[in-house]
Amino acid sequence: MNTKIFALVTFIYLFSFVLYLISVSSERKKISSVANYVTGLGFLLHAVGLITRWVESHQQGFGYAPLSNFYESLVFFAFSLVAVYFYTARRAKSDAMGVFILPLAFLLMAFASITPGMSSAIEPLIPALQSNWLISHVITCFLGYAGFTLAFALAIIYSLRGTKLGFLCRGISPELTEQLMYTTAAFGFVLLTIGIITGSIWAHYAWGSYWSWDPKEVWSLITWLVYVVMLHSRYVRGWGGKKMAIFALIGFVCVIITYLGVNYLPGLHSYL
Amino acid sequence: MDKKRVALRQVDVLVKFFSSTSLGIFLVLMLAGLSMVGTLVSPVALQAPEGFWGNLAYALNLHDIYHSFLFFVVALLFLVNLILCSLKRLPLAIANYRKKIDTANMGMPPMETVFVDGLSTEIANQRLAKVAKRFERQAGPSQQQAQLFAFDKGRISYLGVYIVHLAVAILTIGAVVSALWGISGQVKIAEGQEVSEVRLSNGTVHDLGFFVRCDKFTVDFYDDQRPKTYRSDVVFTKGNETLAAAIRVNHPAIFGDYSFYQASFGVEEGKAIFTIKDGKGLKKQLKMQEGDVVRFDDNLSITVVRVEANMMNAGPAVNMVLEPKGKHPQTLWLFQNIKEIARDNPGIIERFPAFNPQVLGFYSFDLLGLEDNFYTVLEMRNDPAIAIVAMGGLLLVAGLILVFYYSHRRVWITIEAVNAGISFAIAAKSNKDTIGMTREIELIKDIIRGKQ
Ligand code: HEM
Repeated sequence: MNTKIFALVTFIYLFSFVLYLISVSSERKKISSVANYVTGLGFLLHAVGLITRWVESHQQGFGYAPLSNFYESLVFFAFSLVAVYFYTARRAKSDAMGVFILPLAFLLMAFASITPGMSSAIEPLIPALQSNWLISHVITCFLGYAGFTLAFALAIIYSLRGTKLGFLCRGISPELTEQLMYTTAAFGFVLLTIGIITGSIWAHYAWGSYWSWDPKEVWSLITWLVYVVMLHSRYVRGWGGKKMAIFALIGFVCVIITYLGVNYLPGLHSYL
Repeated sequence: MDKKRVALRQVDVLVKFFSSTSLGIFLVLMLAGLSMVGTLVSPVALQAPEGFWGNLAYALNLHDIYHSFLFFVVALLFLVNLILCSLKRLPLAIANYRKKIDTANMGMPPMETVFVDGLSTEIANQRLAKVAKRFERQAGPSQQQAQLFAFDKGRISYLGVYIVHLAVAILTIGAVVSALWGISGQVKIAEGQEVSEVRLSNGTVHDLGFFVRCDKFTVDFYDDQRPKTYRSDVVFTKGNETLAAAIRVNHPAIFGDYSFYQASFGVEEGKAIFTIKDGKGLKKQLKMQEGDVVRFDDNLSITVVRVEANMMNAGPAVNMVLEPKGKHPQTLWLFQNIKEIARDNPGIIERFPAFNPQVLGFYSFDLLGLEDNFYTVLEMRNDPAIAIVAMGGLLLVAGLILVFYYSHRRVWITIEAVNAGISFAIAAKSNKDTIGMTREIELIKDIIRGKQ
């Protein structure tokens, strides 16, 4: 049942991406607000899907929050992304990020359901995953990743200005772009910090060591350090929005490596 | 005199260098870069370095970069830089924090003017009192400026950065203390066995000063054969102080300064359960594992040498040495399925007397089966930096919230009676977060208009 809901959500996100695209290229405010409603609908269904999955896991007798395997993490990543996007867009009164964020949400959902070998089944948790710290760890990390993804989208908007694709940044001023890039990255940074801390507490209980230089731990530290640099770029003489955008891009690459790349390195965190 | 001044200037230059933000950025990137190298370099390949680059990498400790001298030095430089840089700026932040609320500053043009028709001064004051509730401090109206109200909140945000930097410094120190004085290692304890020493990860043997006994190890499975629970029931004993604990994954046990975590487990050569009968009808059942020695009666001693779950594909077997009094010791390979083996391989017992359960004539042996004997593997840790690191983590989060979700917001409102109503001129200033400030002003306007 839950996978069917997620499939529907996937298509709704694709649809709202198309709407956002039409709205920025035609500069029609109406379409953009329709796109917002469609996204909102998708988001609500997404939440319903997560709750359904949670209930279904209880019905099967395992009863765990749907945050434990690769499939669930992709679905939750997309969910966090749309949540953080919505919050930021409403607060800043600008939908310009929608045209970048919705395709990403769509891709994450599509990747979750069509990748061969990806198990969407609800499966019982092995002992190491039976921890409440897991839940807080996963939620905070993915909200953090979502913040960084937004900063990345804003860095793209920042660099597209004045190019052929400049029409994509019509709905947002350069100052607001820069400011939002900073606040979304800062949000991601705070959440990643909490994510690393809750992860350390969990590791402390599960493996006896709050930090073991496992590749995923190291890459989360690298990501964290890259964003430290980005957050300081205002204070370094002669560094402006451009350097900030560059670090938002580098940081996002680190996020991807932390999330996916280290599956190919040996360690405790591998999803594969 | 001159020398002194030169020396001072040198110190000055050094401090300037070591407190610069650019150096900070460089060191942070350096830490990130070294960490990255650590995940890309294969530790195995560097165990036996080859060629110039291999040897250089080995000399730089790249096979264990996180504990290398280089990493340590960069971390220390980073610590010095962070502390100096923060100390340099701290006084200004404290001054900002201490500053009295600023009533005079209406130098800024009002951002917004709200005119409310038909409003009395009394209600206007009530509404301003409501605005004041959103702030920490209020000043005015004063004698000189009867119409000026000043509000502010969030001065603490000036200190956030320093709390964050302090937290990072504490965490760095914690990491160093942990690396230098923390110990960890794994210990294997079979069911029923007791240990008091642990081999540490650096290879040395550490005396715990107490005993850990494993009474029982259990593993439960889900229906689909995935593991559900690993559990070691252990007892710690130190003098006459004892503590019984069940260690599970995610649920360690703590005894004194040491923590024990469920790390792994295994099945040891099981125990063999067998019976012995002598010619006079005396029968005894024994349970023995490798190395056990038992005296059956005055005339026979038995040593179990090996226990095999599947000997030569012929099922469970025990290898024992039998020592009858006054005779040569005799080896026996006791198979559980000896009847089937003898049936399928006629003459085997004649050719290999050691397979004969009645090899000693007078005695006859019968292997009933093997019993699994679990052992548990516990991870032992004694980390003096846990409290330091925990404090650093808490401070870090608290500081970050202050930095990013608090801002010093100042608002000045001047009221003026115009015709039958009152005009409010609003000016505002924030040390960051202009979006939040804009929302704040919207709220204030609503309050003034009586919509809130
Ligand atoms: C991992 C290490 C570090 C972390 C997590 C960190 C964190 C922060 C944060 C959150 C801010 C506030 C940014 C803002 O207001 O938007 C900040 C500001 C600052 N940091 Fe760091 N920092 C680190 C290392 C350093 C280092 C090594 C230096 C320099 C030498 C440094 C120098 C500064 C300066 C000068 C400011 C501006 C302070 C001000 O507002 O006056 N930081 N840092």
